[in-house]
Amino acid sequence: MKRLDEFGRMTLPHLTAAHTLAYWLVRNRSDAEDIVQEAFLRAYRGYDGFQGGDVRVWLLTIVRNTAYRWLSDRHRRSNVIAFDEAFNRYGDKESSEDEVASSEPSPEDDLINSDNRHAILQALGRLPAQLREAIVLREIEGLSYREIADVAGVKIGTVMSRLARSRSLLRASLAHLNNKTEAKGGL
Amino acid sequence: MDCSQTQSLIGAFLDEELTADQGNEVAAHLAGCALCREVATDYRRIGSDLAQQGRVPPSPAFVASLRQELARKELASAPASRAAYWPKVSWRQMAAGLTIALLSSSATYLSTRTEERASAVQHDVIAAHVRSMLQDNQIQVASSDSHTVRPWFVGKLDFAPEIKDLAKEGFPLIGGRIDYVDGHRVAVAVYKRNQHWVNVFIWPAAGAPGGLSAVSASSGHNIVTWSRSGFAYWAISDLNPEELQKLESLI
Repeated sequence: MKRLDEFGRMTLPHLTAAHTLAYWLVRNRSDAEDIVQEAFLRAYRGYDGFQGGDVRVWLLTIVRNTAYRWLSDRHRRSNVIAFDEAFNRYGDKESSEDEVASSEPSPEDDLINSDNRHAILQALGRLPAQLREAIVLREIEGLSYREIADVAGVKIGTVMSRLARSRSLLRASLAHLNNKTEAKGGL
Repeated sequence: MDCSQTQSLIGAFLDEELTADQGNEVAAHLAGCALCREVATDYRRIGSDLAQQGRVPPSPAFVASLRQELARKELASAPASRAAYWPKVSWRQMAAGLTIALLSSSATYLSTRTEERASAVQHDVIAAHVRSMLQDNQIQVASSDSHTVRPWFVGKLDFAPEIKDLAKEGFPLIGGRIDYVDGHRVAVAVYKRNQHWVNVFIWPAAGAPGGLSAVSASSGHNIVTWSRSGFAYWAISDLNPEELQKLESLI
Protein backbone atom coordinates (compact mmCIF):
# COMPACT_ATOMS: atom_id res chain seq x y z
CA MET A 1 0.00 0.00 0.00
CA LYS A 2 3.01 2.29 0.31
CA ARG A 3 2.95 3.32 -3.32
CA LEU A 4 -0.77 4.03 -3.21
CA ASP A 5 -0.41 6.01 0.01
CA GLU A 6 2.30 8.13 -1.51
CA PHE A 7 0.33 8.61 -4.70
CA GLY A 8 -2.68 9.68 -2.62
CA ARG A 9 -0.64 12.15 -0.59
CA MET A 10 0.77 13.70 -3.76
CA THR A 11 -2.34 13.89 -5.91
CA LEU A 12 -5.42 14.01 -3.70
CA PRO A 13 -4.83 17.58 -2.50
CA HIS A 14 -5.46 18.49 -6.16
CA LEU A 15 -8.65 16.49 -6.53
CA THR A 16 -10.91 19.55 -6.41
CA ALA A 17 -8.74 21.31 -9.01
CA ALA A 18 -8.91 18.22 -11.22
CA HIS A 19 -12.67 17.92 -10.82
CA THR A 20 -13.20 21.63 -11.47
CA LEU A 21 -11.20 21.53 -14.70
CA ALA A 22 -12.97 18.38 -15.91
CA TYR A 23 -16.34 19.87 -15.04
CA TRP A 24 -15.69 23.05 -16.99
CA LEU A 25 -14.41 21.13 -19.99
CA VAL A 26 -17.44 18.83 -20.30
CA ARG A 27 -19.94 20.93 -18.34
CA ASN A 28 -21.78 18.26 -16.44
CA ARG A 29 -21.00 16.46 -13.24
CA SER A 30 -21.39 12.83 -14.11
CA ASP A 31 -19.09 13.04 -17.13
CA ALA A 32 -16.62 15.07 -15.08
CA GLU A 33 -16.52 12.30 -12.49
CA ASP A 34 -15.88 9.65 -15.13
CA ILE A 35 -13.05 11.73 -16.54
CA VAL A 36 -11.45 12.43 -13.18
CA GLN A 37 -11.61 8.78 -12.25
CA GLU A 38 -10.05 7.71 -15.54
CA ALA A 39 -7.40 10.42 -15.21
CA PHE A 40 -6.48 9.36 -11.67
CA LEU A 41 -6.19 5.70 -12.67
CA ARG A 42 -4.06 6.77 -15.63
CA ALA A 43 -1.91 8.95 -13.38
CA TYR A 44 -1.52 6.09 -10.90
CA ARG A 45 -0.41 3.73 -13.66
CA GLY A 46 2.09 6.29 -14.92
CA TYR A 47 3.17 7.41 -11.48
CA ASP A 48 6.52 5.58 -11.54
CA GLY A 49 7.39 7.55 -14.64
CA PHE A 50 6.63 10.87 -12.97
CA GLN A 51 9.97 12.66 -12.96
CA GLY A 52 9.23 15.12 -10.21
CA GLY A 53 8.24 18.70 -10.89
CA ASP A 54 4.84 20.16 -10.26
CA VAL A 55 2.33 17.42 -9.40
CA ARG A 56 -0.62 19.72 -9.99
CA VAL A 57 0.46 20.63 -13.52
CA TRP A 58 1.18 16.97 -14.28
CA LEU A 59 -2.21 15.86 -12.97
CA LEU A 60 -4.18 18.66 -14.65
CA THR A 61 -2.49 17.83 -17.96
CA ILE A 62 -3.70 14.24 -17.67
CA VAL A 63 -7.20 15.40 -16.74
CA ARG A 64 -7.24 17.83 -19.66
CA ASN A 65 -6.09 15.24 -22.19
CA THR A 66 -8.55 12.68 -20.85
CA ALA A 67 -11.36 15.23 -21.17
CA TYR A 68 -10.45 16.13 -24.74
CA ARG A 69 -10.25 12.47 -25.75
CA TRP A 70 -13.63 11.98 -24.14
CA LEU A 71 -15.12 14.99 -25.95
CA SER A 72 -13.83 13.80 -29.28
CA ASP A 73 -15.23 10.28 -28.67
CA ARG A 74 -18.56 11.72 -27.76
CA HIS A 75 -18.69 13.69 -30.98
CA ARG A 76 -17.81 10.69 -33.06
CA ARG A 77 -20.56 8.74 -31.35
CA SER A 78 -23.17 11.42 -31.75
CA ASN A 79 -22.31 12.05 -35.38
CA VAL A 80 -21.69 15.73 -34.87
CA ILE A 81 -18.55 17.30 -36.38
CA ALA A 82 -15.73 15.64 -34.49
CA PHE A 83 -14.12 17.91 -31.97
CA ASP A 84 -10.55 16.95 -32.87
CA GLU A 85 -11.33 17.36 -36.52
CA ALA A 86 -12.47 20.88 -35.84
CA PHE A 87 -9.24 21.45 -33.95
CA ASN A 88 -7.06 20.19 -36.75
CA ARG A 89 -8.89 22.23 -39.28
CA TYR A 90 -8.62 25.48 -37.40
CA GLY A 91 -5.39 24.76 -35.62
CA ASP A 92 -4.29 27.65 -33.51
CA LYS A 93 -6.03 30.38 -35.40
CA GLU A 94 -7.51 32.23 -32.45
CA SER A 95 -10.18 33.93 -34.51
CA SER A 96 -11.80 30.60 -35.30
CA GLU A 97 -12.31 29.43 -31.75
CA ASP A 98 -15.94 30.43 -31.74
CA GLU A 99 -16.58 28.02 -34.57
CA VAL A 100 -14.92 25.21 -32.64
CA ALA A 101 -17.24 25.91 -29.76
CA SER A 102 -20.31 25.95 -31.93
CA SER A 103 -19.85 22.26 -32.72
CA GLU A 104 -20.20 21.41 -29.05
CA PRO A 105 -23.62 20.60 -27.66
CA SER A 106 -24.97 23.21 -25.27
CA PRO A 107 -24.40 22.74 -21.55
CA GLU A 108 -26.97 20.65 -19.69
CA ASP A 109 -25.91 21.21 -16.15
CA ASP A 110 -27.96 23.03 -13.54
CA LEU A 111 -24.90 24.96 -12.38
CA ILE A 112 -24.69 26.68 -15.75
CA ASN A 113 -28.39 26.90 -16.54
CA SER A 114 -29.27 28.57 -13.28
CA ASP A 115 -30.59 32.07 -12.66
CA ASN A 116 -28.72 35.36 -12.76
CA ARG A 117 -27.02 34.80 -9.43
CA HIS A 118 -24.53 32.72 -11.35
CA ALA A 119 -24.43 34.86 -14.47
CA ILE A 120 -20.65 34.56 -14.51
CA LEU A 121 -20.89 30.76 -14.59
CA GLN A 122 -23.38 30.86 -17.44
CA ALA A 123 -21.08 33.14 -19.37
CA LEU A 124 -18.12 30.85 -18.65
CA GLY A 125 -20.08 27.81 -19.79
CA ARG A 126 -20.70 29.44 -23.15
CA LEU A 127 -17.07 30.24 -23.91
CA PRO A 128 -15.32 28.13 -26.54
CA ALA A 129 -13.51 25.19 -24.92
CA GLN A 130 -9.95 26.46 -25.40
CA LEU A 131 -10.81 29.83 -23.90
CA ARG A 132 -12.79 28.23 -21.06
CA GLU A 133 -9.86 26.01 -20.21
CA ALA A 134 -7.42 28.93 -20.10
CA ILE A 135 -9.59 31.17 -17.93
CA VAL A 136 -10.49 28.32 -15.51
CA LEU A 137 -6.82 27.46 -15.02
CA ARG A 138 -5.98 31.13 -14.52
CA GLU A 139 -8.82 32.53 -12.40
CA ILE A 140 -10.07 29.47 -10.51
CA GLU A 141 -6.86 27.49 -10.15
CA GLY A 142 -4.45 30.44 -10.11
CA LEU A 143 -1.94 28.91 -12.52
CA SER A 144 0.76 31.07 -14.11
CA TYR A 145 0.85 31.55 -17.88
CA ARG A 146 3.82 29.16 -18.04
CA GLU A 147 1.85 26.47 -16.18
CA ILE A 148 -1.25 26.97 -18.33
CA ALA A 149 0.93 26.67 -21.43
CA ASP A 150 2.29 23.36 -20.10
CA VAL A 151 -1.16 21.96 -19.32
CA ALA A 152 -2.68 23.01 -22.65
CA GLY A 153 0.43 22.21 -24.72
CA VAL A 154 0.63 25.65 -26.34
CA LYS A 155 2.98 28.64 -26.30
CA ILE A 156 2.80 31.32 -23.64
CA GLY A 157 1.81 33.88 -26.26
CA THR A 158 -1.19 31.72 -27.15
CA VAL A 159 -2.18 31.55 -23.49
CA MET A 160 -1.99 35.32 -23.28
CA SER A 161 -4.20 35.90 -26.32
CA ARG A 162 -6.69 33.22 -25.24
CA LEU A 163 -7.03 34.84 -21.82
CA ALA A 164 -7.45 38.30 -23.34
CA ARG A 165 -10.19 36.97 -25.60
CA SER A 166 -11.86 35.06 -22.74
CA ARG A 167 -12.05 38.16 -20.58
CA SER A 168 -13.35 40.32 -23.35
CA LEU A 169 -16.07 37.76 -24.22
CA LEU A 170 -17.02 37.26 -20.56
CA ARG A 171 -17.35 41.01 -20.06
CA ALA A 172 -19.47 41.41 -23.18
CA SER A 173 -21.63 38.45 -22.20
CA LEU A 174 -22.25 39.82 -18.69
CA ALA A 175 -23.09 43.27 -20.07
CA HIS A 176 -25.56 41.63 -22.44
CA LEU A 177 -27.20 39.68 -19.60
CA ASN A 178 -27.50 42.80 -17.47
CA ASN A 179 -29.16 44.69 -20.30
CA LYS A 180 -31.66 41.90 -20.81
CA THR A 181 -32.44 41.86 -17.09
CA GLU A 182 -33.01 45.61 -17.07
CA ALA A 183 -35.19 45.45 -20.16
CA LYS A 184 -37.42 42.91 -18.39
CA GLY A 185 -37.64 45.26 -15.43
CA GLY A 186 -35.28 43.22 -13.32
CA LEU A 187 -35.57 39.75 -11.86
CA MET B 1 -0.64 52.95 -26.65
CA ASP B 2 -4.28 53.32 -27.64
CA CYS B 3 -7.37 51.96 -25.87
CA SER B 4 -7.69 48.84 -27.98
CA GLN B 5 -4.03 47.86 -27.47
CA THR B 6 -4.29 48.61 -23.78
CA GLN B 7 -7.46 46.59 -23.31
CA SER B 8 -5.89 43.53 -24.92
CA LEU B 9 -3.10 43.75 -22.31
CA ILE B 10 -5.11 44.67 -19.19
CA GLY B 11 -5.66 41.03 -18.25
CA ALA B 12 -1.98 40.17 -18.48
CA PHE B 13 -1.25 43.41 -16.61
CA LEU B 14 -3.51 42.31 -13.73
CA ASP B 15 -1.94 38.85 -13.84
CA GLU B 16 1.52 40.48 -13.58
CA GLU B 17 2.62 38.63 -16.68
CA LEU B 18 3.78 41.66 -18.71
CA THR B 19 7.35 42.83 -19.10
CA ALA B 20 8.24 45.86 -16.99
CA ASP B 21 8.12 48.14 -20.05
CA GLN B 22 4.71 46.91 -21.21
CA GLY B 23 3.42 47.11 -17.65
CA ASN B 24 4.53 50.74 -17.36
CA GLU B 25 2.85 51.63 -20.63
CA VAL B 26 -0.43 50.03 -19.59
CA ALA B 27 -0.26 51.71 -16.18
CA ALA B 28 0.39 55.08 -17.81
CA HIS B 29 -2.58 54.67 -20.13
CA LEU B 30 -4.86 53.54 -17.31
CA ALA B 31 -3.90 56.57 -15.22
CA GLY B 32 -5.31 58.84 -17.91
CA CYS B 33 -8.26 56.81 -19.27
CA ALA B 34 -11.44 56.22 -17.28
CA LEU B 35 -12.87 53.90 -19.95
CA CYS B 36 -9.94 51.47 -19.74
CA ARG B 37 -9.96 51.70 -15.95
CA GLU B 38 -13.56 50.52 -16.05
CA VAL B 39 -12.49 47.54 -18.14
CA ALA B 40 -9.77 46.75 -15.60
CA THR B 41 -12.33 46.93 -12.76
CA ASP B 42 -14.67 44.59 -14.65
CA TYR B 43 -11.85 42.11 -15.32
CA ARG B 44 -10.89 42.14 -11.68
CA ARG B 45 -14.48 41.46 -10.64
CA ILE B 46 -14.85 38.69 -13.22
CA GLY B 47 -11.72 37.11 -11.80
CA SER B 48 -12.87 37.23 -8.20
CA ASP B 49 -16.39 36.02 -9.07
CA LEU B 50 -14.94 33.06 -10.95
CA ALA B 51 -12.60 32.24 -8.09
CA GLN B 52 -15.48 32.34 -5.62
CA GLN B 53 -18.18 30.58 -7.62
CA GLY B 54 -16.41 28.51 -10.23
CA ARG B 55 -14.85 25.81 -8.10
CA VAL B 56 -16.69 22.48 -8.41
CA PRO B 57 -15.68 20.11 -5.59
CA PRO B 58 -16.32 16.40 -6.12
CA SER B 59 -19.09 14.79 -4.07
CA PRO B 60 -18.10 12.64 -1.08
CA ALA B 61 -19.74 9.69 -2.82
CA PHE B 62 -17.45 10.17 -5.79
CA VAL B 63 -14.37 10.57 -3.62
CA ALA B 64 -15.22 7.39 -1.76
CA SER B 65 -15.69 5.58 -5.04
CA LEU B 66 -12.40 6.90 -6.45
CA ARG B 67 -10.61 5.87 -3.28
CA GLN B 68 -12.03 2.42 -3.66
CA GLU B 69 -11.15 2.12 -7.35
CA LEU B 70 -7.54 3.05 -6.57
CA ALA B 71 -7.34 0.55 -3.73
CA ARG B 72 -8.78 -2.08 -6.03
CA LYS B 73 -6.12 -1.35 -8.65
CA GLU B 74 -3.46 -1.70 -5.98
CA LEU B 75 -4.97 -4.97 -4.83
CA ALA B 76 -5.11 -6.31 -8.38
CA SER B 77 -1.47 -5.44 -9.04
CA ALA B 78 -0.14 -6.66 -5.68
CA PRO B 79 2.09 -9.72 -5.87
CA ALA B 80 0.71 -12.89 -4.28
CA SER B 81 3.00 -12.71 -1.27
CA ARG B 82 1.77 -9.22 -0.52
CA ALA B 83 -1.83 -10.26 -0.88
CA ALA B 84 -1.27 -12.63 2.05
CA TYR B 85 -0.83 -9.57 4.24
CA TRP B 86 -4.46 -8.75 3.83
CA PRO B 87 -6.23 -10.20 6.84
CA LYS B 88 -9.19 -11.32 4.82
CA VAL B 89 -11.14 -13.22 7.41
CA SER B 90 -11.02 -10.72 10.20
CA TRP B 91 -11.60 -8.05 7.61
CA ARG B 92 -14.72 -9.69 6.47
CA GLN B 93 -15.97 -9.50 10.00
CA MET B 94 -14.79 -5.98 10.56
CA ALA B 95 -15.47 -4.41 7.27
CA ALA B 96 -18.33 -2.04 7.08
CA GLY B 97 -19.54 0.25 4.37
CA LEU B 98 -17.27 0.79 1.46
CA THR B 99 -14.56 -1.71 2.21
CA ILE B 100 -16.82 -4.69 2.02
CA ALA B 101 -17.03 -4.29 -1.73
CA LEU B 102 -13.26 -4.69 -1.96
CA LEU B 103 -13.61 -8.27 -0.87
CA SER B 104 -16.17 -9.21 -3.44
CA SER B 105 -14.97 -12.02 -5.59
CA SER B 106 -16.40 -10.52 -8.73
CA ALA B 107 -14.49 -7.62 -10.20
CA THR B 108 -17.14 -6.78 -12.75
CA TYR B 109 -19.78 -6.65 -10.10
CA LEU B 110 -17.48 -4.32 -8.24
CA SER B 111 -16.85 -1.71 -10.85
CA THR B 112 -20.49 -1.24 -11.69
CA ARG B 113 -21.49 -1.18 -8.05
CA THR B 114 -18.81 1.12 -6.73
CA GLU B 115 -20.55 4.40 -7.26
CA GLU B 116 -23.96 3.10 -6.29
CA ARG B 117 -22.54 1.84 -3.05
CA ALA B 118 -20.81 5.11 -2.29
CA SER B 119 -24.02 7.04 -2.73
CA ALA B 120 -25.83 4.46 -0.62
CA VAL B 121 -23.33 5.24 2.14
CA GLN B 122 -23.93 8.96 1.74
CA HIS B 123 -27.66 8.39 1.85
CA ASP B 124 -27.40 6.27 4.99
CA VAL B 125 -25.12 8.74 6.73
CA ILE B 126 -27.53 11.61 6.08
CA ALA B 127 -30.52 9.53 7.14
CA ALA B 128 -28.81 8.41 10.35
CA HIS B 129 -27.79 11.97 11.13
CA VAL B 130 -31.30 13.33 10.59
CA ARG B 131 -32.79 10.51 12.67
CA SER B 132 -30.44 11.26 15.54
CA MET B 133 -31.47 14.92 15.45
CA LEU B 134 -35.19 14.13 15.36
CA GLN B 135 -35.22 11.57 18.11
CA ASP B 136 -33.03 13.32 20.65
CA ASN B 137 -30.90 10.21 20.93
CA GLN B 138 -27.65 11.53 19.61
CA ILE B 139 -25.73 9.50 22.13
CA GLN B 140 -25.91 6.13 23.82
CA VAL B 141 -22.87 6.65 25.99
CA ALA B 142 -22.59 10.16 27.38
CA SER B 143 -19.07 11.11 28.15
CA SER B 144 -16.58 13.78 27.41
CA ASP B 145 -13.87 11.32 28.37
CA SER B 146 -12.43 9.59 25.34
CA HIS B 147 -11.23 6.79 27.63
CA THR B 148 -14.84 5.93 28.37
CA VAL B 149 -16.19 6.17 24.84
CA ARG B 150 -13.59 3.99 23.16
CA PRO B 151 -13.93 0.96 25.48
CA TRP B 152 -17.69 1.25 25.14
CA PHE B 153 -17.30 0.74 21.40
CA VAL B 154 -15.04 -2.25 22.01
CA GLY B 155 -17.89 -4.02 23.72
CA LYS B 156 -20.31 -3.32 20.87
CA LEU B 157 -18.23 -3.48 17.69
CA ASP B 158 -15.32 -5.55 16.50
CA PHE B 159 -13.21 -2.47 15.92
CA ALA B 160 -12.27 0.40 18.20
CA PRO B 161 -11.45 3.72 16.61
CA GLU B 162 -9.48 6.26 18.59
CA ILE B 163 -11.83 8.93 19.92
CA LYS B 164 -10.44 12.26 21.07
CA ASP B 165 -12.06 14.87 23.23
CA LEU B 166 -11.50 18.20 21.51
CA ALA B 167 -13.05 20.53 24.10
CA LYS B 168 -9.89 22.61 24.26
CA GLU B 169 -10.11 23.14 20.50
CA GLY B 170 -13.77 24.10 20.71
CA PHE B 171 -15.29 20.74 19.77
CA PRO B 172 -16.31 19.08 23.09
CA LEU B 173 -16.94 15.35 22.83
CA ILE B 174 -20.50 14.63 23.94
CA GLY B 175 -20.48 10.86 23.63
CA GLY B 176 -20.84 7.98 21.25
CA ARG B 177 -23.39 5.65 19.75
CA ILE B 178 -23.67 2.77 17.33
CA ASP B 179 -25.43 3.38 14.07
CA TYR B 180 -26.14 1.44 10.93
CA VAL B 181 -24.67 2.41 7.55
CA ASP B 182 -24.83 0.39 4.36
CA GLY B 183 -25.72 -2.80 6.19
CA HIS B 184 -23.06 -2.54 8.87
CA ARG B 185 -22.76 -1.34 12.42
CA VAL B 186 -20.52 1.70 12.63
CA ALA B 187 -19.16 3.88 15.43
CA VAL B 188 -20.44 7.42 15.79
CA ALA B 189 -18.54 10.01 17.81
CA VAL B 190 -20.76 12.96 18.69
CA TYR B 191 -19.24 16.41 19.07
CA LYS B 192 -20.70 19.84 19.62
CA ARG B 193 -19.54 23.12 18.20
CA ASN B 194 -21.38 25.95 19.97
CA GLN B 195 -25.03 24.98 19.36
CA HIS B 196 -24.32 22.64 16.45
CA TRP B 197 -24.19 18.88 16.66
CA VAL B 198 -21.60 17.01 14.64
CA ASN B 199 -21.89 13.28 14.00
CA VAL B 200 -18.67 11.58 12.98
CA PHE B 201 -19.28 8.13 11.49
CA ILE B 202 -16.30 5.82 11.65
CA TRP B 203 -15.65 2.36 10.27
CA PRO B 204 -12.65 0.29 9.21
CA ALA B 205 -11.48 0.96 5.69
CA ALA B 206 -8.16 -0.78 5.38
CA GLY B 207 -6.65 -0.32 1.97
CA ALA B 208 -7.97 3.18 1.37
CA PRO B 209 -5.23 5.69 0.68
CA GLY B 210 -4.76 8.29 3.40
CA GLY B 211 -5.23 11.98 2.93
CA LEU B 212 -8.41 11.78 0.90
CA SER B 213 -10.84 14.43 1.85
CA ALA B 214 -13.95 15.85 0.27
CA VAL B 215 -16.60 18.35 1.19
CA SER B 216 -20.13 18.45 -0.01
CA ALA B 217 -23.49 19.85 0.86
CA SER B 218 -26.64 17.82 0.67
CA SER B 219 -30.14 18.82 1.79
CA GLY B 220 -28.88 21.42 4.22
CA HIS B 221 -26.12 19.28 5.67
CA ASN B 222 -22.44 19.63 5.11
CA ILE B 223 -20.37 16.49 4.91
CA VAL B 224 -16.63 16.08 5.12
CA THR B 225 -15.22 12.66 4.42
CA TRP B 226 -11.69 11.38 4.71
CA SER B 227 -9.73 8.28 5.58
CA ARG B 228 -6.87 7.87 7.98
CA SER B 229 -5.02 5.03 9.70
CA GLY B 230 -7.26 2.38 8.21
CA PHE B 231 -10.56 4.06 9.09
CA ALA B 232 -13.09 5.90 6.97
CA TYR B 233 -14.55 9.05 8.54
CA TRP B 234 -17.75 10.84 7.54
CA ALA B 235 -18.44 14.01 9.52
CA ILE B 236 -21.88 15.53 9.02
CA SER B 237 -23.44 18.64 10.51
CA ASP B 238 -25.19 21.89 9.77
CA LEU B 239 -21.89 23.55 10.61
CA ASN B 240 -20.16 25.36 7.79
CA PRO B 241 -17.65 23.33 5.75
CA GLU B 242 -14.65 25.31 7.05
CA GLU B 243 -15.39 24.35 10.66
CA LEU B 244 -16.01 20.75 9.68
CA GLN B 245 -12.64 20.68 7.95
CA LYS B 246 -11.12 22.09 11.09
CA LEU B 247 -12.59 19.16 12.99
CA GLU B 248 -11.11 16.83 10.38
CA SER B 249 -7.65 18.26 10.99
CA LEU B 250 -8.08 17.80 14.75
CA ILE B 251 -9.34 14.24 14.63
